[in-house]
Amino acid sequence: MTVTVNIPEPLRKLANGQVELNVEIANTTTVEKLIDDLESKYTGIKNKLFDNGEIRGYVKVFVNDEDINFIRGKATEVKRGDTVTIVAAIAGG
Amino acid sequence: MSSLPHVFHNLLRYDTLTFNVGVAAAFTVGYRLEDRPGDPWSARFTKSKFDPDEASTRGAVRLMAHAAQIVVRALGLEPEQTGFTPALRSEETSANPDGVLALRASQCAGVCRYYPDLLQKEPHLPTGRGGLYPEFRSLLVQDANYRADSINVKTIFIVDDFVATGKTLSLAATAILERNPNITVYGLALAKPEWHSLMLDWYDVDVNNDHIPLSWASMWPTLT
Repeated sequence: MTVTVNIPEPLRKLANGQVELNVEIANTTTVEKLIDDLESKYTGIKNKLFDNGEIRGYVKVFVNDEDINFIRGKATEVKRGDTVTIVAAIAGG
Repeated sequence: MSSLPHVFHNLLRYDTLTFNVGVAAAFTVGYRLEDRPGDPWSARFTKSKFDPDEASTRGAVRLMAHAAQIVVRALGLEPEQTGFTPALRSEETSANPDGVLALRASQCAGVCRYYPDLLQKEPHLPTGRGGLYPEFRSLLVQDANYRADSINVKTIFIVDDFVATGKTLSLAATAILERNPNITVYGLALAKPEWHSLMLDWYDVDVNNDHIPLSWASMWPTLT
């Protein structure tokens, strides 16, 4: 099984226009390593998501609908069959 | 996704927002740039929201009333056929007559009509975590059950402090249109929260408040 990664519209040009990517992983990985995997295939995508090794403040990552900020951040575990969704942070009202 | 406005008579006009049901357009004075706290207008907007004092409360009211006059005039609206009503906060069932949104909406109305309690709803949870995100519609609190009265104007402005996704506006507009199908609904807010770096890095757009005339600072002069 793979992990499904939903790509936000502005970054799809870096992923050959794909809306979602299916990424092969071992049994488990982390969000950061998953993004590293993506970077190896789609150059430039990590720089849009990370700054100095940390997820940019305006980037939100959800694993199965859970905001990773409420789990373990970039160290949040990702398992086969999970869905990872990357979105631009919506500045709150 | 983020929506891009165009400058409209020194204001920002959004013809589309992430949620865009029943709203003809939304207007803001400017941006509240989350990552540009030193931007004077962002600082003003932030203070009015999170640490209001008398000066920021008065400044926001004056600025929004000025913006309302501009929009009404620019759209060619007849004042007697135009109304203003306050948006509702998450915990409210109707507008607090002593609340800041009621104060702003009443001052925006000016010579137009003011509807202090046009909208009603059930309390709902604040939109937090994934709730703001259209990718997670299943998590959105949609059971607020917005309701509206029948009114006798052609145009109504819903006055809010900030507009982010347009969700609140859309819910309110839908309720108004159910009772008043021929009315045109606009949103009017102080600012749209935005990330400067996001808009630059992802969308290649340099968002700023340069469109706001320098003279408008005199309406909101005090920064503490």
